[in-house]
Amino acid sequence: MMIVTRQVTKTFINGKEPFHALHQLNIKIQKGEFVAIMGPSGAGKSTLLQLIGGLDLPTEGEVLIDDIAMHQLSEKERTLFRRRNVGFVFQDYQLISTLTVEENVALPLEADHVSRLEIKTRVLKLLTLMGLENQAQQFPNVLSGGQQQRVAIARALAANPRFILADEPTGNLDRKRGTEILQLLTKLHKEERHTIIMVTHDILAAGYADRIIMIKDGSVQSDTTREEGDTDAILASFMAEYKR
Amino acid sequence: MQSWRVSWRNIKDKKVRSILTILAIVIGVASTLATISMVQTTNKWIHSFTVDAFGRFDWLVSSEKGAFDERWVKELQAANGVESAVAEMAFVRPLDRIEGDNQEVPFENIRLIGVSDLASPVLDLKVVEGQFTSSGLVIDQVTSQLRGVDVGDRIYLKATSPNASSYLEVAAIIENTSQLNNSRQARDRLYPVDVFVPLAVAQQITNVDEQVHAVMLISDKSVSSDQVKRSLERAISSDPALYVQRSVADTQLAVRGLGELYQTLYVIGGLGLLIGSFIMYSTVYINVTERRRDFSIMKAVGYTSLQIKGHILREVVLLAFIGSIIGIGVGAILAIQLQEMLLNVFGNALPYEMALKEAVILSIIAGILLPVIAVWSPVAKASETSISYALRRVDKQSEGPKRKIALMIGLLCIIGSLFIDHMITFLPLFIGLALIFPYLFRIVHWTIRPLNRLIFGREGSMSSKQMLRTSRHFMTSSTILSFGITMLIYISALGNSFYMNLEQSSSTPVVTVKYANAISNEQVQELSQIQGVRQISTYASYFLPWKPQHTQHWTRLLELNSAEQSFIVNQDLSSELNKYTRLLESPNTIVLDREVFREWGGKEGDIFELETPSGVKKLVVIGTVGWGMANNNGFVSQRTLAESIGLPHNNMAILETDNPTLLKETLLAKHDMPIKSIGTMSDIMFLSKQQLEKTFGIINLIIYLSIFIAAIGIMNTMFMNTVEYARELGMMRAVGFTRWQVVKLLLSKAFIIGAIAAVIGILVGLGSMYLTVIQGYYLHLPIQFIIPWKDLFAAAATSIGISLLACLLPAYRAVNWSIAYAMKYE
Repeated sequence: MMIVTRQVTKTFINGKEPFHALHQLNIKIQKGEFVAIMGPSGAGKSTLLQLIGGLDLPTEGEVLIDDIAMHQLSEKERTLFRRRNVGFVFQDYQLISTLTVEENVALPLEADHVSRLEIKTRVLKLLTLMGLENQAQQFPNVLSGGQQQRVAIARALAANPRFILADEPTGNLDRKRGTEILQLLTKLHKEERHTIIMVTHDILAAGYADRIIMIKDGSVQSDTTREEGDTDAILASFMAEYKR
Repeated sequence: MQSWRVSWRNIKDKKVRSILTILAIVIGVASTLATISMVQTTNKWIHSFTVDAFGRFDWLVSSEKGAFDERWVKELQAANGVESAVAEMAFVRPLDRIEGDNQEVPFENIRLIGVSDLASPVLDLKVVEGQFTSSGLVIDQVTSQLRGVDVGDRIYLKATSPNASSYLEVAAIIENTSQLNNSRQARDRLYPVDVFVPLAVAQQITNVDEQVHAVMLISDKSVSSDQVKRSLERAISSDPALYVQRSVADTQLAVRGLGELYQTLYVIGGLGLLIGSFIMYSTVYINVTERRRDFSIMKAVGYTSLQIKGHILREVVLLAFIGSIIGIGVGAILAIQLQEMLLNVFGNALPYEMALKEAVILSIIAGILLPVIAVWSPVAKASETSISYALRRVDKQSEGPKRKIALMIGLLCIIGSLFIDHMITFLPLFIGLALIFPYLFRIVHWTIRPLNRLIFGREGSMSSKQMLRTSRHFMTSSTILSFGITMLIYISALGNSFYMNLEQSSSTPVVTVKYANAISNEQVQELSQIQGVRQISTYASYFLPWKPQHTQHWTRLLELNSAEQSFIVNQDLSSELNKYTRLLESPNTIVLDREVFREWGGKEGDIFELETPSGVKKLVVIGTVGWGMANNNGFVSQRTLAESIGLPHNNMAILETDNPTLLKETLLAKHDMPIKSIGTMSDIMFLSKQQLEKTFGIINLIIYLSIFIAAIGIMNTMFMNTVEYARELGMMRAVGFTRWQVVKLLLSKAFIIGAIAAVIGILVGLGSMYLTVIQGYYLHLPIQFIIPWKDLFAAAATSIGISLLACLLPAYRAVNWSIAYAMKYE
């Protein structure tokens, strides 16, 4: 699956003043890539992720996924596209407190009216993969942050999506649990060949990616892959920028 | 001042929530004001009606032969202690037409009340238009307005003799008075239109020169009552047929079921308050739950629990103030409209003034105090939140023991309500119901789950699961709605039972004839010769004021009957009244119907005070009876009536016949009789039914209003629910739920709320009705347990429909949020 953004601009009206969260942004992401999108706060990272995931539409330009222009899809078609192709992982997990772990993971499958038996099998498999098979009947609020994020990842994988969009997946976790989550994402990328796009401003997290896209003021500042260059140097320069 | 400003800003920032909270206060204040004002206004109106009907004159002179010579009027006027006197001659004539009558249902008869002096203080008539003349007819405002009749218009009578005038011209329009029993509504043909005419005109029409039916007198207050009576008796002593008695009310006002109506109004008013409080509780609960994090931060920076309480209460008080002001306006409009409808039911046109002062004061107190009481529990909980507890956003601890206590109190309330023989029983019943509702909610929820799933599919199952886990918010709405449905079903079942009773009672083949004065032997003779009359009995039936225990006012009129003959009219009554025949032989004893008995507030053996022609009489209550819907009656022996009460003359005739309708027509055609009214049992039942329909119509309207209020409660809950779960709904949209699926989730919740309210409301409503029957709420009154199937379906459809409708707006709002925005919503 190829993700392409062409001259994408996203403008918000802040009071009376228009604010360009993204400005004529162009990127291409190939199937099977693990991409980290980095940048300072307010750079437009999360907005980009929302546009790629079809949660929102660009003000100008287009987002193409396998040559399908998102803005040409109806609201319902976009929802169905999201349901079958995109898995979301959020910084604050976004789990439903009134549903059990098992039910939370099953949500995309319930939305798709998958048979009960298949839901049961698939959810159990995912929870086992995440090491949460014993917490299936628990409610999210009794789990640790790391466990909750693993539930969120399991939910993101439930519909067997073609790419995973993770917005600061380690932002609410301590170093140890953050590392666990990143290792899990890397494993999914390596073993299951999932396309992963991860927004982060954590240098260590970005270090797990194959490619790092730096965004500043709504535009791509740099786009580097491991094969092409020294990602460590990029990270160091980002660090310097970030500290400044 | 700064803190009030902050509170005001919070209110403005959360507009939807603030509006819903204000709405809840408006509901509580408006329903309190409307209820109190309506009850007080009706009471005042009945009091002034009683005074107007009863206290107009002091003495009445009539003849046992019916009519008597007009010359006696002069003799009586000259008697010691008499201030003024008016002679009267009343009779019913068939009406041809009224010029300008614009009503579809024309009057068939006219009751001409001929009086010797239209301007007499005895009548106290107040002219609005035109003037009294020696030949013109006098109508009241209500007839003028209802029929479009003005001064100068003609009223045509059907010619009965060559001498009879074919028409009368309207000379004056007077203010409405209880002396003319004209309705403000275009009633059916059973009622004649009442008018005044000069006595000479009445005599000319009936062709009975110099005859009158009664003389009404006002006495000089400086002369003792006994002295006046003696001098009047002296004046008429040469004619043994003439007799003197104290004035009695001359009214057909039938204020039936008023006690029930008051109680229903109070229950519904209380329900309004309860609903308002529930909504307040629910809104503030969600509000403080959402803001627990803010409160914990406030605590962390040094705020005390009391300061946090004050912080929330300031907002509540500000909202209560705004809500109370709006509520008073809404309540006043509601009260005025409903009062107009209510008095129309009683069919009288006497003016009334709305009693609003006390109601407004009480409503303001309720409007400010109740919100504070209603929100105290969530506010207290919020202020006690520990800093770390809220910051970690851990869900609350189990409330197991508290729930169990609530369950026990609830059950006690419900059991207690079974032993209360009063409409007030609904109060503990509703409180009990509210306390055990969580358990009922779960039980009923389980039973309707398959249906919910069938209708809403997977989304239905999901919402059902979620509701079971967060039932608290939804339960409030469901409880409110179930109260409304309970009342609806109960009132409907009660109404159906009453209708059925009336249907069954209407078969007695009699015609009742009420005379303006005593029935003479000649008149009985005359009646017995009419074709179709099998047998005649006469008895006494008079309206007398009485006062409930613990009050000082003679507020109501009792229809006092001689017990010996009353049963002929009503077969159901005979077996009951027979039990007391021997006991009633003891002087100064009375049997009351249950309506009066309950309103009176005493018990058997207590003293019942009655204002009689012989002064205030104290009668011992020896029992109670039921008389179908014809309530507001008392029964004494003929001896008590004659000797103690001073009403020795029978004024009612019961004519037994095979064909009551035909006999009534024959009697109406005999125009020269001083008959006040003629009715068959089916007429009485028809009128009772009509009144019953109107009364229940008003009650139902008020209940539908409370159901509407419940709908606002549901909308409030659903709004709060969508706000509270905005992030979750946003997330669900993100992971692939379509808008329609989210709408289905919300609709399914609304369906569950409505369906549970319908099931519980119907069960409790029918249960209450069943208890009413077996507990003998009306004891021997044959109330039957009837399941009003049509109303059950209507109530269920209303409950579910209103719940779904109330959910549409919040659902629309929820699905139109941008997903990114919803997911960030705090």
